[in-house]
Order: sequence, then C-alpha cells, then structure tokens
Amino acid sequence: MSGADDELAVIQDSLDADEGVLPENLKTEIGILSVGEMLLRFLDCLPQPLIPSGLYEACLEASSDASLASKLISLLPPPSLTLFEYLIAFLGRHYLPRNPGVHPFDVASVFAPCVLKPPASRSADRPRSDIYKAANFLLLFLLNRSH
Amino acid sequence: MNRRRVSELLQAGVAIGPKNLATNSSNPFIQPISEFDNSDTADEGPLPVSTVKAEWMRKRLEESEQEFVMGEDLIIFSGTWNVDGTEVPENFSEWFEFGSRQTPDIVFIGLQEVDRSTQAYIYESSLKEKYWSDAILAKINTTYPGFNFVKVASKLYVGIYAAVFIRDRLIPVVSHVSTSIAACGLMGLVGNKGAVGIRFRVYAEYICFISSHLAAHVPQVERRNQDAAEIGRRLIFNAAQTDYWEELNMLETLIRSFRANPGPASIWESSHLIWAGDLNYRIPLDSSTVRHLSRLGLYDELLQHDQLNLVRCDESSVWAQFEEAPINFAPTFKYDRGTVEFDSSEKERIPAWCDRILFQRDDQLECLDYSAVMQIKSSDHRPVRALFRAKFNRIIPELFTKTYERQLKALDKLENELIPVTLLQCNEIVLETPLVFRRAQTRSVEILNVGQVICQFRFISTGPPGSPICQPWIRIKPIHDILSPGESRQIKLYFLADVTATQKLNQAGGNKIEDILVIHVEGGRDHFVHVTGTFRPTLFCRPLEEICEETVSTHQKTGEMVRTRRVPKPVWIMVDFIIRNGIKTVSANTGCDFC
Repeated sequence: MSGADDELAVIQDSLDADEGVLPENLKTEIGILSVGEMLLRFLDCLPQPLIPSGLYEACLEASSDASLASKLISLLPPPSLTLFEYLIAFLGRHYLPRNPGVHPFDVASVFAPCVLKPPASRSADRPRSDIYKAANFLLLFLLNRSH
Repeated sequence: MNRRRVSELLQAGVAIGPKNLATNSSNPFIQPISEFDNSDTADEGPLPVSTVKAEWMRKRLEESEQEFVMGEDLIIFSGTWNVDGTEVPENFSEWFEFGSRQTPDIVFIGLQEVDRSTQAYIYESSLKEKYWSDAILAKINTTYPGFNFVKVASKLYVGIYAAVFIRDRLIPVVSHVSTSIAACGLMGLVGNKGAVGIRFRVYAEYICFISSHLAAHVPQVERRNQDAAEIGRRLIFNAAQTDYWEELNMLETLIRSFRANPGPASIWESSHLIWAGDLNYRIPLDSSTVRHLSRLGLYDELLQHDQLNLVRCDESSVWAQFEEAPINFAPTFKYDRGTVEFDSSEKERIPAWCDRILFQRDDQLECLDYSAVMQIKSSDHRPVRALFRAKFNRIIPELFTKTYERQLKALDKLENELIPVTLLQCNEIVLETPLVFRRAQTRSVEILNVGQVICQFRFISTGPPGSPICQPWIRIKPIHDILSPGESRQIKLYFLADVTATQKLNQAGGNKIEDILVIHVEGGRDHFVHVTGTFRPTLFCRPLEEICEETVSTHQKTGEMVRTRRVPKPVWIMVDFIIRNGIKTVSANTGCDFC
C-alpha cells in the first residue's frame, strides 16, 4: 500500500482542520490507498502501540491460541480496546468481505507491525519469526468475525 | 603609608626617595668608571597587559601626549657655593631671600669643598651632609614659612654636595628620585673634582641638577673642559626605585608609568638640566685689570674673556648646549674671608667667575634672576643663585583615561584582526507557515569567515554538556565545519516535526515553537540564531486517552448509565471514507459508533 505524497498531505490537512469528511477528489484508487496509508500511520505513531508493548511477548506466544488471544485483548485499557475492536470489525466485516482477492493474512501482516510492537528497550530489528507471529495473532481476530 | 604620616616623616628630616641611593664603595685612588650598577632594573609598576601590548600602548600614548597634558610652571631656586670647609654662616638665610620674588617650588643647592680634610677623599661624610641639609632646610622654611619644604634627596661626595628640597604641595607629584656621582681626575693626586647629580620626576617630566667642582687654576681650561665632558658622559643615574610615597590606584600607576624612563639615565635624558658649581673658569688677564674693572662694575668687558663663555662658542664642547643668564654681579672668587676684599694674599688670585649656574638650552626653562650674594662672606667664594621658571607637563587624569581607553579600543581592534572573525548572514528565522507533522521546511544561513585566520565553528547546546544542540524538530547540516579566510558555508536547517517531535510538541501544548541555536567559533565569538514559528496541532501522535471521547448516556431500556467511547475522530473519518468509497459494494453501514 502506498499513496502519493500530495494526497497524504491533503488527508493530513483535512484531518487536522477537523473538516469532518475527507475531500471528494480522494475518491480514486490511489486516493483510497492513501487514506489507508494514513490510517496505518495514525496507528503507527501512537505514543503507546495499540496493543501495549508489555503484552507483546505474551501475544506472540498466543499467536496460535484464539482463546488465550482473546483473554489478552480483554486486558487492554478501554480506549485501546475500543479502537482494536473497531479496527477488527472494519477489516473483518467490511474490508475483507468486499475485497475477496485480498488474503486476510496480507491485511494482518500490514496492520500487525503498527499495532503490536515490542517495548522500546528491545532491539530495533525484529526477527522475521516475530513478525510472522504478530501477523498470526491479528489473524485470529480477523478470521473470528464476532466477539 | 598615608599622606599625613609621610609628611610627618619628611618634616622630621627622614630622607625619602630611593632605597638604594648610590654609594661610593670603590677605591678613591682608582678612578671609578661610574656608579652605574647593572644589577637593578626599574620596576615600572605593572601595566595590565602583556609586554608587546604595553609597548604598543606606550608609544601610542606618547604620540597622543598633547591630548592629556597641561603645562604647569614651577619656580626653581638654584644655588651654588664653594664653602671652603667653613661652617654655616649667621646670615645664611640671605642666600634664599629674593625679596619680592615668588616662593620657589623646588630648591636646589650645590656646595663644593664642604669638607677639606684628607679623610673626605676616602670616606663619605654623612655627618657633614646632614649638617648642611638640616641647616639649608631650616633656612628655607624660615624664609618661606607655611610652605613646609621637605628634602627630596641629598648627596655628599668628597666635598661636593647636592640637595633638592620641595614645598609640600609637590610631594604627591615628585617621584623616581635618584642620585649619582662622577669623579674626575685621580683622587688625592689632582684633587677632589667631579660632580654630584640628582635626578627626579615632577609630574610627567624629569629634571636633573648637577653640582660640580672642576679643575682649578687659570691654565687648566682644557682640564676643565675634559672634566665637564667626562661628567656629561659618566654621570649616570641608577634606575630609580618606584616606591611611591603613597598608595597608588591603577590609574595613578599608569600615569606614573607614562614616559617613566626611571633609569639608568644620563644627564641628557631629562626635560630640564641645570648644571651649577665651582666650574673654575677664569679670566686670563692680569689681576689688577680684572680687579679694577670689577670694582667699577664693568663686567661685560671682562666676561668677553671669560674662559667658559669662550668655550661655549666651541661646538664640540659639552658647554655648547648650555645657556647662562647675563652676569650682573662681581666675580665670586677669590675673597678674603669675612671681607669684601679680593684675595690680599701673596698669591693675589685673579678674580674670576668660578661659580656658575648654567642650564641646557630649553624653551620651557627661563632664568628669571641670576645674582651673587656678596653679604655672605664666610668663605673665599661668594654664593651664587639663580631663579628659574620651568614648565612641567602634568597629566590630566580624566583626559589621560580618555586617550588610554581610546588606544585600548584601537588595540582591541588590532587584536581582533588576529582572531577568528565570522559573520552570520542572519540571526532570525521565522517560519511563516506552521510546522506540520511530517512536513519539512528548510532554511539556510550563511556563515562567512571575514577574519585573517582559519576558523572552526560548531553548533553547541545551551544546556549541560551532552544535551542536544537544538529542539527535536530541527536538523542542522553541517553542525561543524572549518572555514579558510574568505570562505563561506551555507548551513541547512531542516525543520521537521517527526513522530517523536510531534509527540513532544503535542505534550507541550500550545502551538508556539521556538529555539535558539548557538554557533560557537573556536577562539572567537558565538553567533545566535533565533528560530520562531508555530506548530499546527494534530490528533496524530497523541495518546489514545486524550483523543477518545467518552460520552455518558442512559440506556434506553435499562435506564443504566452507559459509557460510550468513541474511536479517535481521524480513524473513523478515514475508515468511513474507505468503507463508503473503497469498497465496491456500497453499504448503508456508516461504520461509526461502536457500542
């Protein structure tokens, strides 16, 4: 996913100006992708990742255990929990069904690095296996469309 | 030592002046070269700058002398008398009584043949010196009461005496006192001939007095000329100690240092030079003619034959530089003691003007009176006296300070040319458009090396060492560099609110952003760049607690309080957009408000 820089700026301007709705001229294929990128950016630049980094290790371990994963998510503080469920609902119930060509794992791989991050003290380079596990963790929720 | 204490000491006759008054320790039968002692060098008093700078300042100050000096006239009484070994006469004060003349500021007395004993040739006689000094000082103070004269210095060397006295108001402005002797001829064989000199500084100029006794007898004119030449060469004054009589502040020290020249110095290194003594120059005419014309008062006739007057016409003679006031008095040698009769012994000495007071040609020195004191008859010579008006430059402290500071500024400027000098093209950067998250702005500032040397600059932090050199929304390139003279560098400043910076800016609140960048030039001065601007607030990079609204409502059915949390507005706007526009099948579900 990537959007043109100008469009990203337009989106930023619109959001910062609190216009309430994004400009019409973004209703293009690339425009949609730009919006998608900005959504990712938003999640990525949260001071604390959506899933608190204290839960990072536990989530990786629970990446193949749906019930454990649910339990971990239930530990999220309210604003994070609300947003997490909102995103899952959007991706699982709206986006994926309308885009059958898109594999859920691909969506999970794109979002996982933004919402599930290790604590800052860990080295910057995450091993591939960790990225894989993080994606799988998210996938559990995307496949299970109802909480 | 406060002034009052000093005055008391002076009144009590305690000699003041340099601690190391020249003393004759050499064998009197072997001609001393001079008393010049190499080991002492003057302590000029510290100038608060290095030697090179001091030299530069010294020269500039001397060049600008006219800006801060003012001439002050002082009256100088000079006297010379060959006392022929006798004691202080009863009518001694008549020497000093000038009638209606002004009070002298400085009194110089030269005496010869103070001590005729053979011992005088070998040892100094400090008793005789004190005897005459006390007598003279007492007489001066009774003649000019209320002026509280004090002795500056005195010296007695094998019968030749010299002393200087000043009135009290000059005490603070007299300094750098030194005395010296020069002996002529072999002691004990030819006679006690030579000179004693006293040199000192008044205000900003030096004056030198010589009391001398030259070779006697009519035919010895060449001998006298040689004696005088020797004195001119070898009368060297030691470096004067600069122990001042009062505590001096910095300004006073600087003023005293101006044209200090405390020595070693010859007699020629003074603004004024007065040479008095029994110079022994004669009239080579027969005795009866001279006596006859003297009694008639026809001095000019005789003076035409005076050996000194003739020698003064000789360019090569040391006397050629000297002037003498017209002589309107009878020859002062040789008289029967106690009488006004010329020598009535079988030797029948030809009267002569042996005792003279001359002064080096000097347009700031004027002789007001020149006379002999015929009433003082105790010796075979009569005392001679001269009254002078001499101008001394005095330094006006306020004007000196002005000039000094002006020169110091000029010196600073000179110094600046040797240190790195840089110019920064601008000191203010205003970001007209607000800084937006992830949207960079760039500016550049030029730094130019306008000095004469290579310079090194680097940005430094204003906080403790190790702290950042600028706010997190600024990037600088280069943060350090080296410039050759004339070289410039465009320093790029990138203003970018990245995630970290935006998190911080959001946290800080408000939307004003500001920073001061400091460019430190090694060995030079710092430059400052003041950056101001605004930051456009954004909901990005904020903690969720801040941007998720919570609403409370009542459940329709249960009546319970229901807390509703919304997702951040940017999120639902974007999701909404994607749902409505990005999903091929349009759905009625707006995707907002998750309960």
